[in-house]
Amino acid sequence: MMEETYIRETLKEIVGSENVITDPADLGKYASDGSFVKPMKPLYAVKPATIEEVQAIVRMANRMGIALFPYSSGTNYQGAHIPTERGITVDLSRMNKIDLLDTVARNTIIEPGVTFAQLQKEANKVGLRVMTPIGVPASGSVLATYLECTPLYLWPRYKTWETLTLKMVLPTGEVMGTGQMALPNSERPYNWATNFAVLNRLFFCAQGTLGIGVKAAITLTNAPAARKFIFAPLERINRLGEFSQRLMHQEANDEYFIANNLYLACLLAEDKEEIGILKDSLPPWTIVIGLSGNDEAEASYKELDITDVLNHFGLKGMEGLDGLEDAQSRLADEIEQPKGMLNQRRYSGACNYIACMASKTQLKPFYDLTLKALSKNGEPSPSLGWMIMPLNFGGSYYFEPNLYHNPDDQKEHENARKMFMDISRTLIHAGGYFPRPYPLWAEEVYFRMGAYHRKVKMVKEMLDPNNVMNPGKLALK
Amino acid sequence: MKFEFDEEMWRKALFCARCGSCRTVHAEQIEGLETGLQCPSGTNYLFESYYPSGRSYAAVAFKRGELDWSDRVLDVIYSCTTCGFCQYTCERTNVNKPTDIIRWLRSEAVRAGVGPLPAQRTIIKNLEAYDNPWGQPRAKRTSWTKGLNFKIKDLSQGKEKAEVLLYPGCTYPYDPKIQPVLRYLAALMFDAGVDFGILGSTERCCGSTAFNLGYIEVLEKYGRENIETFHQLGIETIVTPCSGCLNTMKNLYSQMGRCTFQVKHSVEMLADLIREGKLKPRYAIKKTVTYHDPCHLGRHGKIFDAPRTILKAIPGLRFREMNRMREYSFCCGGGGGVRTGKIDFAQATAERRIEEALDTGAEILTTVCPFCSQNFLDYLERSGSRLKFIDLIELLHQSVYGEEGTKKVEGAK
Amino acid sequence: MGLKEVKKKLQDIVGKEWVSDEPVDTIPYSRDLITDGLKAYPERRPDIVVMPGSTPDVQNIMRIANQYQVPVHLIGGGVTLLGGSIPVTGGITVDLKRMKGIQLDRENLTVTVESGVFVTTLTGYFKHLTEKEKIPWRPYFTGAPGGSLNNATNIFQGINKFAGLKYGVGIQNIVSLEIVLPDGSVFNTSGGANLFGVNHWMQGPGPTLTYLPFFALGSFGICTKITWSLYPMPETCQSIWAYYEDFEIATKCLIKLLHREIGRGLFVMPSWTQAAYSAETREEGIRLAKACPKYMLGMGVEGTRRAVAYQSELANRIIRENGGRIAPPELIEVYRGHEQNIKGWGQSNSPRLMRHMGMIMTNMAYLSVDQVPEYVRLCAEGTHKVDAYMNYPEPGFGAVASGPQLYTYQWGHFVIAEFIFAYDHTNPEHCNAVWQCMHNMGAVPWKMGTGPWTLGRDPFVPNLTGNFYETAKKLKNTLDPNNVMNPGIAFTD
Repeated sequence: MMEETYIRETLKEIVGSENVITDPADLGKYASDGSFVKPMKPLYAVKPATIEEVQAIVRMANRMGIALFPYSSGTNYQGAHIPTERGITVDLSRMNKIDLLDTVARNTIIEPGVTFAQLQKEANKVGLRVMTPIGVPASGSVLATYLECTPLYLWPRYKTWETLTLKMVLPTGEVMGTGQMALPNSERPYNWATNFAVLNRLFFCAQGTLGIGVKAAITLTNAPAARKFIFAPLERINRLGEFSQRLMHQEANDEYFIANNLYLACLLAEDKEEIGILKDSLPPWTIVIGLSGNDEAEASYKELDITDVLNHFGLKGMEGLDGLEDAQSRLADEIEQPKGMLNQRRYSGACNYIACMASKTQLKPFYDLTLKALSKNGEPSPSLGWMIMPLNFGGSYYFEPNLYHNPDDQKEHENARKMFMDISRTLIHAGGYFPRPYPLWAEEVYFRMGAYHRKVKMVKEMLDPNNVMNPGKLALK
Repeated sequence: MKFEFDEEMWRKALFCARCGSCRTVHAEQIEGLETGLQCPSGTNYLFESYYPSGRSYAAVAFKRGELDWSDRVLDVIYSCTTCGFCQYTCERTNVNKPTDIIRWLRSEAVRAGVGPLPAQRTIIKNLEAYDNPWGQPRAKRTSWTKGLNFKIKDLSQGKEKAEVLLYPGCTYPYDPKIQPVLRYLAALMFDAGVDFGILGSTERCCGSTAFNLGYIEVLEKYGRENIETFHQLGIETIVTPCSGCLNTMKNLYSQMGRCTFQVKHSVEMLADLIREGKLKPRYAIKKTVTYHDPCHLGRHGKIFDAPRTILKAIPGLRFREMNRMREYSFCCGGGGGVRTGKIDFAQATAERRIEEALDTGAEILTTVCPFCSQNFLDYLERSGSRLKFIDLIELLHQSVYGEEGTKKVEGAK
Repeated sequence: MGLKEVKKKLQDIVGKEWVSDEPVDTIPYSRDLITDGLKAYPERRPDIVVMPGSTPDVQNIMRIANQYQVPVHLIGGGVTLLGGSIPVTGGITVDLKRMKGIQLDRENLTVTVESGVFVTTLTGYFKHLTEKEKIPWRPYFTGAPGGSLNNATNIFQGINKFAGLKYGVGIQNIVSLEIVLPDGSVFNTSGGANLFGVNHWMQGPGPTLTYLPFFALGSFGICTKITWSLYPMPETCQSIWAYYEDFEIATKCLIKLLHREIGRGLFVMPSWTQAAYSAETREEGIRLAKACPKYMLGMGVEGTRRAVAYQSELANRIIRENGGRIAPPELIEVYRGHEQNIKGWGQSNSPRLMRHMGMIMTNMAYLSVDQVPEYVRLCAEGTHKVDAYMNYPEPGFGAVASGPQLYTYQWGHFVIAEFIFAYDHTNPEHCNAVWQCMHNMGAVPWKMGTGPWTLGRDPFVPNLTGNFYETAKKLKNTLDPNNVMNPGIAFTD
């Protein structure tokens, strides 16, 4: 087709022919990500290396009316980058420069292709570290992961402000900086809360529908001198909210999450065999608390502050777990260079998580509702792993059921999909908050939040009049 | 009369920095829910014009000829209780004098023949006819002395002499609800051996109410006449239970003539008498009591400790401070002619203060100002609140003579 | 003719007592410090002032404004205004002070506040709760003056030198907003959009629109509610004060402290500002200012007893090792004006700075912390050559009454630097001298590649921020096609 030829040739002119992928076999990696989203290959994939190349691609897309699907590493596992119509995947992995590593402000300026593995290595060299996500492997894009507001291990301590400023290529092809990045002379553009209207958060949880992130200033933190993890077995999560508020009130913790035996086993096991052993030896739930300090004295007082709370609730904090005596080093390694979803998948072959948020008062009811939804299922249920991350000092929780199944078994796959949707719907309609309305949830999420959705639509139409940028996402048709 | 309604004041009014100090108490000064709600009229009416900064701007606009008189302007000007919080706090920051500016606006309104508010004009008529703002016969000024079992010296003719002139003012004698306070006070003074007398029915108003409404000349008239009278009678010490009279005679009369007398509030004298052992509060009052600092006594008169000394001397009394106390006391709503001209506003302000009093857990609210007393009593009666109001002097009387002793006094509740 | 009808319709919505077109009522909304005080802006009155009592009132006001194409302006608490609320072409001024609702969600740790609630009232509310019900949580209190409202659409960054280090700027601590848009529709953001759930989370759903109104000077609508997150009331807290003569040395020490991630707030300021906050009279302020060393490094520490013991010991050690002199306890009494801020409560004392000379002025820039000494050097250059400033009211006093302030946020990942002056704003000559200083310094932040904290009328900003301004403008045009909301204030072209 002439049009497709034109597009292909234009792309080659922009990025060089070696950076345009046309072979259907090679395009497969952009078509699916282990989620239940309908796989679809793009027409082509293109791999720009500079902002100017991205701009040229975007302008071309507008001229030709062809959709673009931004892709950094495909590690959201919710189908955000999977094409919804004929279009071009813009693979940003070549844009992997670390522009600046500022050891005074402890910030770095990175491109979208920079991965956690890459950045961690560089940061460690100067005594710093990057904040890693809990479900995403180290091959994941830092910028994209942060833009998606994926929960990070260190959110309980540092909250959700790891991204300072952004440079975006807007859907019409202009480059726009947010905050200080809007100012051309700014060598160290860190302040995001400035200038008219704070626009930068517009691009978060947006799944690339409002533009392509091509640069970000992000925060790093210290590689701690002293560090420890405390593991506390838990039978039930009935008082988890109360415990979390009390614990987080002490402000002594770094990492803090709660996992059930299956999730934790998958996270930390050496291999699939060990998962089987661990999930039986681990307690039903484990509270995982990380702490660190400038020195042993600091770590020591923090441990005492944390232990006070554990004691108050009759819980025992330990340095290891049954069958997992080296839990300390395993968890430290996992946090440093995460395997995330890759580890979770080892159990059955596939793992799908539901990114729901619950308030403290919703925690137990949502847990019960999830189990109820599962129990209504006629077929053998997928196994259920849980990751709960208390945030906002225990007022908010990342409430993440994970469903494990064998993707090669058609029946299991179908059933898992059904359960995934049932549980999601149940939670949405029970008032659960889904800040990341990925394709399988978008309709239902925005059904409950119609007024907000209209504003999202308005912003989308304003920024992307030709609807080229990841069309069809966010329930925007 | 010297008032600073001059170029310097205009310069300062012009530079009102909208810092908000006139309407907000900083958290390090007081604790509690009521911070930010310090200006009674601003808190009630909410428009910027009802805040001190808004009135300062109105004054500037007048000076520039940009503002004409209207009912609304009069409402804005006369909705201030002249509590003086704004001046107290602004003087220390921007050196503005917002309360004086409001008084100037009122004097201009009177001069233009448009002020004060219609209901308030009776006050001036009453003063002209009866030398008191309430339109009561002169002879009734001394009705409070009936029933006393001792004679009070009459200093008015110059024949009898005394060390102290007791100057009751116009409000206590003519209001039956608060009149007994004078009997309590006189008894305490007599039994403590204070040599005192009164001017009887020849006593004239101090001029405070006229001044608050903008009748500067009326104040000046009463000021000059009273100074002359006191001087002629050789009065050296005046004691008054009325905080308004105290403020007027202590702070304003000196601008009108040479004052050879000192003015004290009755609580100062009573506190001294307790310290000297001449008054012995011996009967316990086992109640929780909170004290309201009247604006005229506290912020204007700078008297904060004497009432507290008295309360702490009463055995068994559990004293609790309100959040807004001393210089940061919140107005009762009764001053500045507001009770006469805008009773709803006065009562709404009383309600706010009473809520604050209730919040201390107190059973009794006390103070030493007739206007505060009237305004609180009116509200408490209407609302059926569980809080009781008892004048500080009555509390002291009760502690000195016992509850039965106080009940025997004529007019006692 | 149109305005009479508008007035009548507004009266129908809120009641006659809450609408006024009387000059005595409109005059206070036409002026603030920037008009007469600084003579930098003309006085312009609104035609009508209206006080809505609820969100539906605000919605109806906006609908009428759109119907009649009447501009709508906003005023917050009426304190420290710098022109943002003064109408450009008449219209309606909306005064939100009637809307005073406070709703606490103790379980899920949020508090929702209507926009007519003063910051200081919220302080009092939580102090009351702490005392009476021992609730160990409170919102993060920004550095806004106590008389400010909880009104997100005015300038609302929330500079709190005693808390910014740990918790960032004020807007990082908001969960969601309720905004009435220029077309009269009401819009709840973030977790607030989840009307059938619990409002507790500040991201999403999808693109996060919560932060759009900030710094937009009311251009995007009227904020009617803010939902704040709650933060721990610590077991104990402490302040540390250290003296420095050299700003660069103080900054180097500050960097070392930042890297340890201890404390709640950390800043360096000229000592005279600290004295001014605490002094009872102008004379005392001036005397203290002259007696102090040049700079104070201040740190607020809070947490459990163990945390405070560790952090203050470490901080003291680092300060001593890096050229600072720790202020003895009796001198800390001098800085009592900060006591409430040190404890993490409410309200900035910036109005109290005015005791010192009358007024303050700042030139603000966003920099990386190690860039600040250079910024300060350039600003000082621009200031020190203005004799009329430097020698009033006595020779050399200008050097005492000016200087840099350095606030730190989010563990030093970003900082805000200011060059601050005190001056007698009632003295025209001194005023002119300050303008001269500002003029000399004016381009410094831009030269260093940073941007000022804009007042919206800065002509540089649209040119220098390029597509950012254009995008914000597009958003404004989309949300407010009739340009009724605060026209001519933020978007001046």
